[in-house]
Amino acid sequence: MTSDVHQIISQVYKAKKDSHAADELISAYMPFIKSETARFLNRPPDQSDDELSIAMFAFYEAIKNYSRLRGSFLKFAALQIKNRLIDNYRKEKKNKGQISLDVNDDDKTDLKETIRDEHDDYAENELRDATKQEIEELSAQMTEFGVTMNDVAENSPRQKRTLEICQKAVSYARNNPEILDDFLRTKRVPLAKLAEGANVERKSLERHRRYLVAVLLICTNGYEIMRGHIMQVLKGGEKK
Amino acid sequence: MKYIVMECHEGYALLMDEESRVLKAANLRYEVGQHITSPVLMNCADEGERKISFYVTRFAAAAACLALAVTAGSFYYSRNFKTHSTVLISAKANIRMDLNKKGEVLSLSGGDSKANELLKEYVLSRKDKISVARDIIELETSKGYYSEDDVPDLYIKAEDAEEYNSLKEEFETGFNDTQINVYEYGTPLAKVPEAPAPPETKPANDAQKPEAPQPPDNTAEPPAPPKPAENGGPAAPAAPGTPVAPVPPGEVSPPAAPSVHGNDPAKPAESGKNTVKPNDRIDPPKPEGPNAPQPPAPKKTSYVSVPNETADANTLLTAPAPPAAAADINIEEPREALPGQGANSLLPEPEVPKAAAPAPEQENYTLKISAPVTGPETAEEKSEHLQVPETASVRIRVLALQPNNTAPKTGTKAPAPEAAPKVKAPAP
Repeated sequence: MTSDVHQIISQVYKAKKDSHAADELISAYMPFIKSETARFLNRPPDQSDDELSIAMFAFYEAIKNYSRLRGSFLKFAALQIKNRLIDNYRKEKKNKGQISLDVNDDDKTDLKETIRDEHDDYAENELRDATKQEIEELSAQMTEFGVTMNDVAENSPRQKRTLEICQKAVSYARNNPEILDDFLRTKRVPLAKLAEGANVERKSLERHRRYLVAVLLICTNGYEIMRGHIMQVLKGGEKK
Repeated sequence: MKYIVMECHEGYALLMDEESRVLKAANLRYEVGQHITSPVLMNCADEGERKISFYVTRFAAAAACLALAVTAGSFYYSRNFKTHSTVLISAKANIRMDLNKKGEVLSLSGGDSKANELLKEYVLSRKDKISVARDIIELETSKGYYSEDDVPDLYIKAEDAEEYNSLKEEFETGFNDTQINVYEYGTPLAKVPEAPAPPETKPANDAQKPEAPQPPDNTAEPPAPPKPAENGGPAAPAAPGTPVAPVPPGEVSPPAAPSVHGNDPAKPAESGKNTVKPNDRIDPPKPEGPNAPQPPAPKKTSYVSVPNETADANTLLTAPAPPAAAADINIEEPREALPGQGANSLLPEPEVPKAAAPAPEQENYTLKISAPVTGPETAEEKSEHLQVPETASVRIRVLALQPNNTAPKTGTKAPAPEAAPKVKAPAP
């Protein structure tokens, strides 16, 4: 029993740093996640239920937030799952009384089919495929820089002031293509030039170096969809 | 805000928002490259923030515990170990009993050596205050400090009246078989420990300033000679070798009985003829004609009160000075007033020698004026200012006085604190 507890804790601490280990731990504890979801829903969850996805996400949050001081991991994870599901229930409660388009009526006709669909599924699928291709290219290029998407996610600035500093540096790099060329050639972020040119603290840029790698790569040629997605914010950084 | 799904994992998805941040969210069956609008974002706190909040929480908890402990400790100390009331058991050996808020005896302390000696024999061990008070009274009785007939006095000093009343009731209830007197600490003693001291007959030369006499009524009878033992005030001085005569109407009584005449020193100045200021020149009455009756030999010395603001600093050079008058002019008057002068014109007895006695047309008077000698002006200079020219029909001898705190030049220390100009009228 004690060895099992120690094994779980060691797996959790390993999953904190390794995303693959986290995925494996989530897969290993899917029955636990389903049981907690079923306890909340008072029914066994389907694979298509949002509650199950949220419960899995809550389990991942529990992995990231757990420490030995918090006691047993499974109890902590169960509490996290329950709280998340309650939050989601309260959020969805606002939409109570609305009818889902997917629900069949008595005459076995979907409501979705009764209204005009303005979405162009074909264009949407094309956009999704193109975006996916860009993301795959970006991920591959980031690997050359020794950066993964998970690293970028964990290294992204959270405070608005820090985000503005990074955006200033990225805007300065976009206005000076030689910096981007130098960045692609050397595969190193020119922090000194960015800090000097954008008149920001180098220390702040160093803290978010991996994030800067991803954004500077997006700002180079290619990645038009993603660049268009973040361009509005980058223009705001240029104005400042 | 729109998000692009960057990566999909088993339990979460990576999304890029329009601010170029990459965030983690719940994977609600997303696909990479999908544009979404309302994800369930992760609220994962930063590791550093979590550490800070953890330490802040610990520090706050420790501070709260410390504050709680200090509060509880101070409350416990105030209730159990702090002296809230005191009971003084009065006898020849005064013993003080300190009580806490609950009324328990904290300590016993003695006010003198007897009490300390008594307390050496007594062991205070978890007894209530009534028992302790009983034990102490018994101990004092056994030592002979109390007799059987004496009623012990307990003086209670409490923080408020309610506590005092409570303690008083407890002691009176506890001593129901014994008679005790319970007083509040600070009230006068029931027993007078010492007999009143006899009044001093010493002339008042201390800080106690006698009251200045009021101007007497002209029609009033001369008061009796002052009795020094009546009010403990200064005795009226008498001229050496001369009996003290009653004060005639129009003159003030001696300061030995100042309370009879009131205490307003400004009133004598308003009486006009009856008062003499220190710098006033006093013209002695002249006998009218050769058949004018000779003034009898002076028998006594009477005093004329003169208000003098600087009287404290003055002393008479010539002894004896009136002891208590604010500013007196000592006129050695004849036995009877001169005819036609009324009661106010009392002639002083001349002190000049008989050989130098002037003719009746030129009489010699000695006017002794008490005036302050302040500043660089010496007594002689002051005398010069007050010198009467030789051409005057009256010769006035002026003597300057010294303040109290400076010894006169003659070396004699005058006892009176106030100025008393003294006018001696020679016999015509």
